[in-house]
Amino acid sequence: MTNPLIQIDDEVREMTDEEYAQYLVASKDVIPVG
Amino acid sequence: MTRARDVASSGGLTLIKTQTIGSGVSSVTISNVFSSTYDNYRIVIGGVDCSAVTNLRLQLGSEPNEHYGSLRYDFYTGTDTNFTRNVNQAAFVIAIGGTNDDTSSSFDICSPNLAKRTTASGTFNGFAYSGWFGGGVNTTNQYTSFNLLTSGATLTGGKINVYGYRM
Repeated sequence: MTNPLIQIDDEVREMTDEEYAQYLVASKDVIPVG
Repeated sequence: MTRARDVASSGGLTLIKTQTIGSGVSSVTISNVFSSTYDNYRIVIGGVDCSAVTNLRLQLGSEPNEHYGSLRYDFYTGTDTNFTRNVNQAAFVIAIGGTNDDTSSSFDICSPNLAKRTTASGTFNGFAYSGWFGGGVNTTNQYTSFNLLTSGATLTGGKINVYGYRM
């Protein structure tokens, strides 16, 4: 299982495990359903 | 008499950076855009294609908490109108992205590189959803970068322009 991609300026790469953990924390709200 | 140099130094937007969004990314970091040169910034995001309807969130620097905000959204049919709120989180919501290369947002960030609380406000459209938001970071930390985050989806294409301006 690979982690999502992160883009830092022009560089695109797979998130490290630490970055992925931080991403999950920062993106944890509910998506509205239309 | 007002001289041209005075007008140029106090008003108007100066493009600092244009960043093209790659393919299938869940997080985009725009680095080294906030500095002591400008107190305030306009961010314009256009032409972004999301893999699914998703909240797009803004994080200042790598600030792990202290983001507060409220976003008002409306689905174009009127069947879904509500708020999304963030309280002491790692980011706040700035848009609901759509899936047809059509997500756009324009907002202002005030004081990100000053020893003051950073605030942001603006509007967005993701085709199906449109609305506006306001948010802030309840610290006096100073930032040079920001992150644009999805809520589990990915972004492909589009551009992020960062402008600086004085007031």
